[in-house]
Amino acid sequence: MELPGTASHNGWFHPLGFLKGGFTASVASFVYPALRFMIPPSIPEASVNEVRAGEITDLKVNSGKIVKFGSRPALLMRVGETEFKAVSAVCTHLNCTVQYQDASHQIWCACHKALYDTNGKVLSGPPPGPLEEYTVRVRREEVVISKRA
Amino acid sequence: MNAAGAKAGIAGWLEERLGLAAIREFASHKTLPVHSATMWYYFGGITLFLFTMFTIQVLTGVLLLLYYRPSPAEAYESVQFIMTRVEYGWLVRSVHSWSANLVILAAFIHMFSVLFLDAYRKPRELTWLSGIALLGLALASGFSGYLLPWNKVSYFATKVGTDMAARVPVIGETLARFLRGGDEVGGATLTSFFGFHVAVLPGITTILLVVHLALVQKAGMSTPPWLAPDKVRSIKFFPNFFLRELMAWYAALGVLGSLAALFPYGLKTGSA
Repeated sequence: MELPGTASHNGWFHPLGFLKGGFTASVASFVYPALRFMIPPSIPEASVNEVRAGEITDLKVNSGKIVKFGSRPALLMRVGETEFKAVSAVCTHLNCTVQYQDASHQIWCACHKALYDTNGKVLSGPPPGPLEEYTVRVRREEVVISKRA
Repeated sequence: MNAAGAKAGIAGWLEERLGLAAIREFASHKTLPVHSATMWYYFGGITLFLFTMFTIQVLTGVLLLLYYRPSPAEAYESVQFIMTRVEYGWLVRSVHSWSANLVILAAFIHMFSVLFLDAYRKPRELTWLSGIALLGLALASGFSGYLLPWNKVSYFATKVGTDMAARVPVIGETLARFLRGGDEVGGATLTSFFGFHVAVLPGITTILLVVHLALVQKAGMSTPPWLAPDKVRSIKFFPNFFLRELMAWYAALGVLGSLAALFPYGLKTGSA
Protein backbone atom coordinates (compact mmCIF):
# COMPACT_ATOMS: atom_id res chain seq x y z
CA MET A 1 0.00 0.00 0.00
CA GLU A 2 1.72 3.13 -1.20
CA LEU A 3 0.51 6.55 -0.21
CA PRO A 4 0.42 8.93 -3.17
CA GLY A 5 3.13 11.53 -3.33
CA THR A 6 5.45 9.92 -0.84
CA ALA A 7 9.06 9.37 -1.70
CA SER A 8 9.78 6.79 0.97
CA HIS A 9 6.99 4.70 2.39
CA ASN A 10 9.09 2.43 4.55
CA GLY A 11 10.79 5.01 6.74
CA TRP A 12 10.39 4.44 10.44
CA PHE A 13 8.99 7.91 11.00
CA HIS A 14 6.57 7.70 8.14
CA PRO A 15 3.05 6.94 9.45
CA LEU A 16 2.75 3.74 7.45
CA GLY A 17 6.19 2.50 8.47
CA PHE A 18 5.31 3.29 12.05
CA LEU A 19 2.09 1.28 11.71
CA LYS A 20 3.93 -1.67 10.21
CA GLY A 21 6.51 -1.55 12.98
CA GLY A 22 3.84 -1.33 15.64
CA PHE A 23 1.91 -4.23 14.16
CA THR A 24 5.02 -6.38 13.94
CA ALA A 25 5.95 -5.53 17.52
CA SER A 26 2.47 -6.38 18.80
CA VAL A 27 2.47 -9.71 16.97
CA ALA A 28 5.93 -10.43 18.39
CA SER A 29 4.69 -9.62 21.88
CA PHE A 30 2.22 -12.50 21.55
CA VAL A 31 4.45 -14.95 19.72
CA TYR A 32 7.55 -14.50 21.89
CA PRO A 33 5.94 -15.60 25.20
CA ALA A 34 4.36 -18.56 23.40
CA LEU A 35 7.75 -19.69 22.08
CA ARG A 36 9.40 -19.27 25.48
CA PHE A 37 6.51 -21.21 27.05
CA MET A 38 7.29 -24.20 24.85
CA ILE A 39 10.79 -24.61 26.21
CA PRO A 40 10.51 -26.91 29.24
CA PRO A 41 12.00 -25.27 32.33
CA SER A 42 15.07 -26.98 33.68
CA ILE A 43 14.21 -28.16 37.15
CA PRO A 44 17.32 -28.59 39.21
CA GLU A 45 17.12 -32.22 40.25
CA ALA A 46 17.85 -32.34 43.95
CA SER A 47 21.13 -34.21 44.05
CA VAL A 48 20.48 -37.27 46.15
CA ASN A 49 23.22 -38.86 48.17
CA GLU A 50 21.15 -41.07 50.34
CA VAL A 51 17.75 -42.76 50.17
CA ARG A 52 15.77 -44.93 52.53
CA ALA A 53 14.94 -48.15 50.74
CA GLY A 54 12.43 -49.68 53.14
CA GLU A 55 12.45 -52.22 55.97
CA ILE A 56 14.71 -55.24 56.06
CA THR A 57 11.70 -57.51 56.14
CA ASP A 58 10.43 -56.11 52.82
CA LEU A 59 13.14 -58.01 51.00
CA LYS A 60 13.56 -61.78 51.10
CA VAL A 61 16.99 -63.38 51.14
CA ASN A 62 18.34 -63.88 47.60
CA SER A 63 16.11 -61.31 45.95
CA GLY A 64 16.39 -57.80 44.61
CA LYS A 65 14.19 -54.79 44.08
CA ILE A 66 14.37 -51.55 42.16
CA VAL A 67 14.30 -48.43 44.31
CA LYS A 68 14.27 -44.78 43.35
CA PHE A 69 17.62 -43.12 43.85
CA GLY A 70 17.05 -39.47 42.99
CA SER A 71 15.82 -39.44 39.42
CA ARG A 72 17.38 -42.79 38.48
CA PRO A 73 16.70 -46.36 39.60
CA ALA A 74 18.96 -48.37 41.87
CA LEU A 75 18.95 -52.12 42.42
CA LEU A 76 18.93 -53.21 46.06
CA MET A 77 19.78 -56.87 46.66
CA ARG A 78 19.67 -59.01 49.78
CA VAL A 79 22.41 -61.52 49.11
CA GLY A 80 22.56 -63.03 52.60
CA GLU A 81 20.65 -63.04 55.87
CA THR A 82 22.30 -59.78 56.90
CA GLU A 83 24.18 -58.85 53.76
CA PHE A 84 22.77 -56.21 51.38
CA LYS A 85 24.24 -54.82 48.17
CA ALA A 86 23.16 -51.98 45.96
CA VAL A 87 24.21 -50.84 42.50
CA SER A 88 22.91 -48.39 39.94
CA ALA A 89 20.17 -50.17 37.99
CA VAL A 90 20.98 -48.35 34.77
CA CYS A 91 22.83 -50.66 32.38
CA THR A 92 25.98 -48.95 31.14
CA HIS A 93 25.32 -50.23 27.63
CA LEU A 94 22.07 -48.50 26.56
CA ASN A 95 20.47 -47.39 29.83
CA CYS A 96 17.99 -50.26 30.23
CA THR A 97 17.00 -51.14 33.79
CA VAL A 98 18.76 -54.24 35.06
CA GLN A 99 17.28 -56.91 37.37
CA TYR A 100 18.47 -59.42 39.95
CA GLN A 101 18.36 -63.10 39.02
CA ASP A 102 17.91 -65.34 42.05
CA ALA A 103 18.82 -68.55 40.21
CA SER A 104 22.30 -67.43 39.18
CA HIS A 105 22.84 -64.73 41.86
CA GLN A 106 23.74 -62.33 39.10
CA ILE A 107 22.44 -59.09 37.63
CA TRP A 108 20.87 -59.39 34.22
CA CYS A 109 19.99 -56.83 31.60
CA ALA A 110 17.14 -58.10 29.41
CA CYS A 111 17.80 -55.71 26.54
CA HIS A 112 21.02 -57.27 25.25
CA LYS A 113 21.62 -60.18 27.59
CA ALA A 114 24.32 -58.55 29.67
CA LEU A 115 25.40 -60.13 32.95
CA TYR A 116 26.99 -58.40 35.93
CA ASP A 117 27.96 -59.83 39.29
CA THR A 118 26.38 -58.42 42.44
CA ASN A 119 29.22 -55.90 42.76
CA GLY A 120 28.31 -54.47 39.37
CA LYS A 121 31.28 -55.93 37.51
CA VAL A 122 30.62 -56.97 33.91
CA LEU A 123 30.64 -60.76 33.43
CA SER A 124 29.45 -60.95 29.84
CA GLY A 125 27.63 -58.99 27.16
CA PRO A 126 28.07 -55.57 25.61
CA PRO A 127 28.30 -53.15 28.59
CA PRO A 128 31.42 -50.97 28.38
CA GLY A 129 31.81 -50.55 32.14
CA PRO A 130 30.61 -51.70 35.56
CA LEU A 131 27.46 -50.54 37.34
CA GLU A 132 28.11 -47.90 39.96
CA GLU A 133 28.24 -49.48 43.43
CA TYR A 134 26.42 -47.92 46.35
CA THR A 135 26.96 -48.38 50.06
CA VAL A 136 24.18 -50.09 51.98
CA ARG A 137 23.75 -49.63 55.71
CA VAL A 138 21.07 -50.92 58.02
CA ARG A 139 19.80 -48.44 60.59
CA ARG A 140 17.66 -50.30 63.09
CA GLU A 141 15.26 -52.11 60.76
CA GLU A 142 15.66 -49.70 57.87
CA VAL A 143 17.86 -50.13 54.80
CA VAL A 144 19.67 -46.98 53.66
CA ILE A 145 21.50 -46.67 50.35
CA SER A 146 24.11 -43.99 49.85
CA LYS A 147 26.57 -42.89 47.20
CA ARG A 148 30.21 -43.72 47.73
CA ALA A 149 32.36 -40.68 48.20
CA MET B 1 14.63 -14.71 -12.09
CA ASN B 2 13.80 -11.54 -10.21
CA ALA B 3 11.58 -11.39 -7.13
CA ALA B 4 8.47 -10.31 -9.05
CA GLY B 5 9.01 -13.12 -11.56
CA ALA B 6 9.41 -15.67 -8.78
CA LYS B 7 6.24 -14.44 -7.12
CA ALA B 8 4.32 -14.73 -10.37
CA GLY B 9 5.76 -18.21 -10.86
CA ILE B 10 4.62 -19.40 -7.44
CA ALA B 11 1.21 -17.76 -7.93
CA GLY B 12 0.86 -19.53 -11.27
CA TRP B 13 1.89 -22.87 -9.79
CA LEU B 14 -0.71 -22.54 -7.01
CA GLU B 15 -3.34 -21.25 -9.43
CA GLU B 16 -3.04 -24.33 -11.64
CA ARG B 17 -3.51 -26.65 -8.67
CA LEU B 18 -5.97 -24.81 -6.45
CA GLY B 19 -8.06 -22.78 -8.88
CA LEU B 20 -7.73 -19.66 -6.76
CA ALA B 21 -9.31 -17.48 -9.42
CA ALA B 22 -12.63 -19.24 -8.89
CA ILE B 23 -12.40 -18.62 -5.15
CA ARG B 24 -11.53 -14.96 -5.72
CA GLU B 25 -14.39 -14.68 -8.19
CA PHE B 26 -16.76 -16.26 -5.66
CA ALA B 27 -15.52 -14.01 -2.86
CA SER B 28 -15.86 -10.89 -4.96
CA HIS B 29 -19.62 -11.41 -5.18
CA LYS B 30 -20.14 -11.58 -1.43
CA THR B 31 -21.42 -8.27 -0.15
CA LEU B 32 -22.39 -6.80 3.16
CA PRO B 33 -25.18 -4.31 3.80
CA VAL B 34 -24.07 -1.03 5.36
CA HIS B 35 -26.47 0.75 7.69
CA SER B 36 -26.76 2.18 11.19
CA ALA B 37 -26.46 -1.25 12.84
CA THR B 38 -23.54 -2.58 10.77
CA MET B 39 -21.22 -2.59 13.77
CA TRP B 40 -23.09 -5.56 15.25
CA TYR B 41 -21.99 -7.70 12.32
CA TYR B 42 -18.48 -7.74 13.77
CA PHE B 43 -19.21 -9.70 16.90
CA GLY B 44 -19.80 -13.04 15.20
CA GLY B 45 -16.34 -12.76 13.75
CA ILE B 46 -14.88 -11.84 17.13
CA THR B 47 -16.50 -14.90 18.69
CA LEU B 48 -15.04 -16.96 15.88
CA PHE B 49 -11.60 -15.46 16.32
CA LEU B 50 -11.50 -16.07 20.04
CA PHE B 51 -12.90 -19.56 19.83
CA THR B 52 -12.10 -21.48 16.71
CA MET B 53 -9.61 -24.10 15.69
CA PHE B 54 -6.81 -21.84 14.64
CA THR B 55 -7.20 -19.17 17.20
CA ILE B 56 -6.74 -18.10 20.74
CA GLN B 57 -8.44 -20.84 22.72
CA VAL B 58 -7.01 -23.69 20.70
CA LEU B 59 -3.54 -22.19 20.48
CA THR B 60 -3.26 -21.44 24.20
CA GLY B 61 -5.05 -24.71 24.99
CA VAL B 62 -2.46 -26.66 23.04
CA LEU B 63 0.29 -24.79 24.86
CA LEU B 64 -1.21 -25.65 28.25
CA LEU B 65 -1.46 -29.31 27.18
CA LEU B 66 2.34 -29.42 27.03
CA TYR B 67 2.50 -29.32 30.83
CA TYR B 68 -0.97 -30.12 32.18
CA ARG B 69 -1.55 -33.59 33.69
CA PRO B 70 -5.16 -34.75 33.97
CA SER B 71 -5.05 -36.87 37.13
CA PRO B 72 -6.25 -35.99 40.64
CA ALA B 73 -2.77 -36.50 42.05
CA GLU B 74 -1.03 -34.27 39.52
CA ALA B 75 -3.54 -31.78 38.07
CA TYR B 76 -3.21 -29.07 40.71
CA GLU B 77 0.54 -29.37 40.89
CA SER B 78 0.92 -29.28 37.13
CA VAL B 79 -1.11 -26.07 36.93
CA GLN B 80 0.99 -24.68 39.77
CA PHE B 81 4.05 -25.72 37.79
CA ILE B 82 2.73 -23.86 34.73
CA MET B 83 2.05 -20.77 36.85
CA THR B 84 5.36 -20.64 38.67
CA ARG B 85 8.03 -22.54 36.76
CA VAL B 86 7.23 -22.39 33.06
CA GLU B 87 8.26 -19.14 31.42
CA TYR B 88 5.21 -17.00 30.68
CA GLY B 89 3.06 -19.86 31.96
CA TRP B 90 1.01 -17.42 34.03
CA LEU B 91 0.40 -15.36 30.88
CA VAL B 92 -0.61 -18.28 28.67
CA ARG B 93 -3.03 -19.61 31.29
CA SER B 94 -4.34 -16.11 31.91
CA VAL B 95 -4.98 -15.55 28.20
CA HIS B 96 -6.79 -18.91 28.05
CA SER B 97 -9.03 -18.03 31.03
CA TRP B 98 -9.72 -14.46 29.96
CA SER B 99 -10.39 -15.53 26.41
CA ALA B 100 -12.83 -18.16 27.67
CA ASN B 101 -14.81 -15.43 29.41
CA LEU B 102 -14.60 -13.02 26.48
CA VAL B 103 -15.85 -15.74 24.10
CA ILE B 104 -19.03 -16.04 26.15
CA LEU B 105 -19.38 -12.25 26.23
CA ALA B 106 -18.84 -11.93 22.47
CA ALA B 107 -21.21 -14.83 21.81
CA PHE B 108 -23.94 -13.21 23.89
CA ILE B 109 -23.46 -9.82 22.16
CA HIS B 110 -23.60 -11.66 18.83
CA MET B 111 -26.76 -13.50 19.88
CA PHE B 112 -28.57 -10.39 21.12
CA SER B 113 -27.59 -8.41 18.03
CA VAL B 114 -29.09 -11.16 15.86
CA LEU B 115 -32.16 -11.14 18.07
CA PHE B 116 -32.72 -7.37 18.06
CA LEU B 117 -31.94 -6.99 14.36
CA ASP B 118 -34.53 -9.70 13.62
CA ALA B 119 -31.90 -11.65 11.74
CA TYR B 120 -33.13 -15.05 12.96
CA ARG B 121 -36.29 -14.98 10.79
CA LYS B 122 -37.00 -17.12 7.76
CA PRO B 123 -34.88 -18.33 6.00
CA ARG B 124 -32.24 -18.15 8.75
CA GLU B 125 -33.82 -20.30 11.49
CA LEU B 126 -31.21 -23.02 11.16
CA THR B 127 -28.40 -20.49 11.44
CA TRP B 128 -29.99 -19.27 14.68
CA LEU B 129 -30.43 -22.78 16.07
CA SER B 130 -26.88 -23.84 15.17
CA GLY B 131 -25.70 -20.64 16.89
CA ILE B 132 -27.61 -21.55 20.05
CA ALA B 133 -26.04 -25.00 19.95
CA LEU B 134 -22.60 -23.40 19.58
CA LEU B 135 -23.30 -21.19 22.60
CA GLY B 136 -24.21 -24.34 24.56
CA LEU B 137 -20.93 -25.95 23.47
CA ALA B 138 -18.98 -22.85 24.52
CA LEU B 139 -20.64 -22.94 27.94
CA ALA B 140 -19.94 -26.67 28.24
CA SER B 141 -16.29 -26.00 27.38
CA GLY B 142 -16.16 -23.38 30.10
CA PHE B 143 -17.79 -25.69 32.65
CA SER B 144 -15.50 -28.63 31.85
CA GLY B 145 -12.41 -26.43 31.73
CA TYR B 146 -13.17 -24.93 35.12
CA LEU B 147 -12.63 -28.28 36.84
CA LEU B 148 -9.25 -28.99 35.31
CA PRO B 149 -7.04 -27.05 37.78
CA TRP B 150 -8.54 -29.37 40.42
CA ASN B 151 -8.53 -26.80 43.20
CA LYS B 152 -11.17 -26.52 45.90
CA VAL B 153 -13.30 -23.92 44.16
CA SER B 154 -13.36 -25.85 40.88
CA TYR B 155 -14.16 -29.08 42.70
CA PHE B 156 -17.18 -27.59 44.47
CA ALA B 157 -18.32 -25.71 41.38
CA THR B 158 -18.42 -29.02 39.55
CA LYS B 159 -20.23 -30.65 42.45
CA VAL B 160 -22.88 -27.92 42.38
CA GLY B 161 -23.09 -28.04 38.57
CA THR B 162 -23.54 -31.78 38.38
CA ASP B 163 -26.01 -31.64 41.29
CA MET B 164 -28.08 -29.29 39.14
CA ALA B 165 -27.96 -31.79 36.29
CA ALA B 166 -29.28 -34.43 38.70
CA ARG B 167 -32.47 -32.35 39.15
CA VAL B 168 -33.44 -32.73 35.48
CA PRO B 169 -36.73 -34.70 35.39
CA VAL B 170 -36.54 -38.43 34.58
CA ILE B 171 -33.00 -38.58 33.16
CA GLY B 172 -31.38 -36.37 35.82
CA GLU B 173 -29.71 -39.11 37.87
CA THR B 174 -28.35 -40.86 34.79
CA LEU B 175 -27.12 -37.55 33.37
CA ALA B 176 -25.32 -36.63 36.58
CA ARG B 177 -23.70 -40.08 36.77
CA PHE B 178 -22.58 -39.74 33.17
CA LEU B 179 -21.12 -36.27 33.79
CA ARG B 180 -19.29 -37.36 36.93
CA GLY B 181 -18.11 -40.65 35.48
CA GLY B 182 -19.48 -42.22 38.68
CA ASP B 183 -21.57 -41.46 41.73
CA GLU B 184 -19.42 -38.65 43.09
CA VAL B 185 -17.14 -35.97 41.68
CA GLY B 186 -13.69 -37.57 41.73
CA GLY B 187 -10.77 -38.71 39.66
CA ALA B 188 -13.04 -40.23 37.02
CA THR B 189 -14.82 -36.87 36.64
CA LEU B 190 -11.54 -35.10 36.07
CA THR B 191 -10.46 -37.55 33.38
CA SER B 192 -13.81 -37.45 31.65
CA PHE B 193 -14.06 -33.63 31.79
CA PHE B 194 -10.53 -33.45 30.41
CA GLY B 195 -11.49 -35.66 27.48
CA PHE B 196 -14.58 -33.57 26.77
CA HIS B 197 -12.69 -30.31 27.15
CA VAL B 198 -9.78 -31.06 24.84
CA ALA B 199 -11.27 -33.49 22.32
CA VAL B 200 -15.03 -34.02 22.20
CA LEU B 201 -16.29 -30.45 22.59
CA PRO B 202 -13.70 -28.78 20.30
CA GLY B 203 -14.38 -31.46 17.67
CA ILE B 204 -18.15 -30.99 17.71
CA THR B 205 -17.69 -27.22 17.85
CA THR B 206 -15.51 -27.27 14.74
CA ILE B 207 -18.05 -29.27 12.76
CA LEU B 208 -20.95 -27.11 13.90
CA LEU B 209 -19.00 -23.92 13.16
CA VAL B 210 -18.50 -25.05 9.57
CA VAL B 211 -22.25 -25.68 9.34
CA HIS B 212 -23.01 -22.30 10.95
CA LEU B 213 -20.70 -20.42 8.58
CA ALA B 214 -22.00 -22.33 5.56
CA LEU B 215 -25.55 -21.37 6.54
CA VAL B 216 -24.52 -17.72 6.94
CA GLN B 217 -22.91 -17.86 3.53
CA LYS B 218 -25.93 -19.58 1.98
CA ALA B 219 -28.47 -17.04 3.18
CA GLY B 220 -26.28 -13.95 2.87
CA MET B 221 -26.23 -11.14 5.39
CA SER B 222 -29.54 -10.15 6.85
CA THR B 223 -30.76 -6.58 6.61
CA PRO B 224 -33.09 -5.40 9.38
CA PRO B 225 -36.70 -5.50 8.07
CA TRP B 226 -37.44 -1.91 9.09
CA LEU B 227 -34.80 -0.48 6.75
CA ALA B 228 -36.04 0.30 3.24
CA PRO B 229 -34.03 -1.91 0.85
CA ASP B 230 -33.26 0.99 -1.49
CA LYS B 231 -31.74 2.98 1.39
CA VAL B 232 -29.19 0.30 2.19
CA ARG B 233 -25.78 0.58 0.55
CA SER B 234 -23.54 -2.43 0.39
CA ILE B 235 -19.80 -3.00 0.46
CA LYS B 236 -17.76 -5.93 -0.75
CA PHE B 237 -17.07 -8.58 1.85
CA PHE B 238 -13.57 -9.08 0.43
CA PRO B 239 -11.56 -7.06 1.01
CA ASN B 240 -13.58 -4.18 2.50
CA PHE B 241 -15.43 -5.89 5.33
CA PHE B 242 -12.80 -8.54 5.81
CA LEU B 243 -10.05 -5.99 6.49
CA ARG B 244 -12.30 -4.15 8.93
CA GLU B 245 -13.06 -7.43 10.66
CA LEU B 246 -9.31 -8.05 10.89
CA MET B 247 -8.96 -4.70 12.62
CA ALA B 248 -11.73 -5.71 15.03
CA TRP B 249 -9.83 -8.94 15.75
CA TYR B 250 -6.68 -6.97 16.32
CA ALA B 251 -8.49 -4.73 18.78
CA ALA B 252 -9.99 -7.78 20.52
CA LEU B 253 -6.52 -9.27 20.77
CA GLY B 254 -5.29 -6.04 22.32
CA VAL B 255 -8.08 -6.06 24.91
CA LEU B 256 -7.42 -9.73 25.67
CA GLY B 257 -3.66 -9.26 26.00
CA SER B 258 -4.09 -6.25 28.28
CA LEU B 259 -6.60 -7.98 30.55
CA ALA B 260 -4.46 -11.13 30.76
CA ALA B 261 -1.28 -9.22 31.54
CA LEU B 262 -2.79 -6.68 33.96
CA PHE B 263 -5.29 -8.92 35.74
CA PRO B 264 -3.76 -12.42 35.56
CA TYR B 265 -5.71 -15.41 36.79
CA GLY B 266 -4.42 -16.81 40.04
CA LEU B 267 -4.67 -20.22 41.63
CA LYS B 268 -5.64 -19.18 45.09
CA THR B 269 -7.33 -22.11 46.73
CA GLY B 270 -5.52 -25.34 47.46
CA SER B 271 -5.74 -28.69 45.73
CA ALA B 272 -9.09 -30.47 45.91
